[in-house]
Amino acid sequence: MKKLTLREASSSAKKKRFAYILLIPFLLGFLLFFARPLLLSLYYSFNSMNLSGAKIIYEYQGFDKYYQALFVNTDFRAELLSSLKQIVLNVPLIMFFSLFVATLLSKDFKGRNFTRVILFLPVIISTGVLLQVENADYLMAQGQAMISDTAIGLEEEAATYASSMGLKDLLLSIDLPAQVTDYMAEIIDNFYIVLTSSGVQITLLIAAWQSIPPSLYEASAIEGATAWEDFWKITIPMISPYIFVCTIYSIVDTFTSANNGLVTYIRDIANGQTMDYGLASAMSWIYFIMVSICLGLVALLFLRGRLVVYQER
Amino acid sequence: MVKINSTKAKSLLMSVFRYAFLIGLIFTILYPQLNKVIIAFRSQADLVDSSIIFFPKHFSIASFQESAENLEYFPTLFRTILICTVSGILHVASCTLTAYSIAKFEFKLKKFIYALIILTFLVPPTLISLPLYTNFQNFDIFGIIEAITGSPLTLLDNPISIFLLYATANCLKSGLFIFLLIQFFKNMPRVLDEAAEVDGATNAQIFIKLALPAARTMLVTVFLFTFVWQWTDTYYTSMFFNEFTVMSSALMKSVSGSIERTFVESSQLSSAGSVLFVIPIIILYVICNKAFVQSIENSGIVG
Repeated sequence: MKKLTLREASSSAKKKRFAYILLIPFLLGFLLFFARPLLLSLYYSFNSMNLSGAKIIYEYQGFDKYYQALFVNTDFRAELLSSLKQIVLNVPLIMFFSLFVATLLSKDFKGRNFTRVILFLPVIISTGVLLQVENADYLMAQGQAMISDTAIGLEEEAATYASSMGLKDLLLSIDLPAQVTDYMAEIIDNFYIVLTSSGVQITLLIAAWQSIPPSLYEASAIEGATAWEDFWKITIPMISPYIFVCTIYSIVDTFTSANNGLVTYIRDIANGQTMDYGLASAMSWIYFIMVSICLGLVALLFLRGRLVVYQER
Repeated sequence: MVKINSTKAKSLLMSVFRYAFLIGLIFTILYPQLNKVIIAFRSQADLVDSSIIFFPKHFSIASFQESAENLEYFPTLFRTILICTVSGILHVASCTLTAYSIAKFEFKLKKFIYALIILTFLVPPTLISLPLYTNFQNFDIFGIIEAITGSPLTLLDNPISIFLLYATANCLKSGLFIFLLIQFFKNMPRVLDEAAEVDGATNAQIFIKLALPAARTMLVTVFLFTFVWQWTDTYYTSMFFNEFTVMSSALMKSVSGSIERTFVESSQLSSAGSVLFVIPIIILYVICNKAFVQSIENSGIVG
């Protein structure tokens, strides 16, 4: 008996050692390529940098850079707000859209797999450099459309941009308030972005949907529940943990996307003529704090608001 | 009888709606891509012909030739494939080690390290990009390299910088992959491990002979995603590579370098470039789409 516990103890010590050995690469990388840069950027944001000869001299400035970013710089606050608006507007849209498409795709029909493969395609191709090239073309097309309105095929993208204008006029003409029409026009302008950033979420939600035991639906059918009731009383609670995960993923994806204006703006501040590392760092920190607050609020809403139902296992 | 008819009509209506909607979505995703291909095939005369809406009258591959020249297509292609493959392998290795440790063992700092992993995923990349750049400009590990060679290394314009990030699972999406792998390993039945342990297998043996084969599809997925995202990546390539060109940086350069052309011409060139750029990963996706799509389902987040 005693021998066994000894053996158990040594095996558990061995296990612990093995666990730490496995973690060595990550921890080393974390220190070198994450923690150190993170602390350095905090340091930059509180200091001014001056080149004197080959050496850089740091001078402590307190919250000066933060003040500058928020109250002196004219563009930053606007960019910050528009980035926040993008999250607040797009993330619910992405979630509703993914849920809706997942509903359509949850049952088997002809061509279902093909549809899923196509819907996942943007995860592969609408990232990084292709997104940037697309944006560059899009901006050029917009600029071009403003200069001349000759309709050649290449400017179709500019034409699609203008297409929500027609809808806006239509909605205004039926006496909808301007705020509502603006919002709807914005949704339509954003639709392509929403569509191309929903790939992972749709796939996850379909899988979640299919993991619901069919017996639940059978039981509710015997009780005489309608499909509408099934959806709200069975499906939504059962997949709610995944809705939560998808929401977090969408927020993170939105603010790290190459589409994000603020990210580009901060990079320009750091690499542009001014080369103001400190200011760029301060802006990044403000942005990070804002995003953290967003994530915190969402987590609070889901977990404290009891929107997530965790099953007991 | 009437009731049956109405449910039939309902399901018919539903499937009509479903197909109409989904075909619309598929069109929205595919159209911009098809449009690029079509535009790239237009001849010089077709570009300014306003009567052409979609299909060109005269097919021409001139724009492909020119943009292949700009990209130095084949040398760049092989270099990029090599870099993405090595990155993928390193990333699979580092993510798996980290995830397995967190998922299977109990130790004091486990929760803390898990939090750190999540943190690497949540912090905006711009926050650390600048110090990361200076870090690789004068690369050193706690002063060891300087002590040996006398000066720190410069790893800019050197793929080793990216490889180091992948080998330590500290890249843009590493946290996500580690998270998926943790969920997968947690769901693996413990009975097998225990049986192997009773038979006298060491921890390393259990990891290599039991866990890795079981996680095969997940490992392939991590590899594929890393490959594709490194292929399209501009965050690292624009930060670390200046002279050293890979596909994504070559495409960026060829697009921004065509300012002196007219809008129509440069737009055609960027279309042709994008098509050439995307073909390899589209082929990869067509062959491996099951591994991409299904693995997210099987990741174990669900179920």
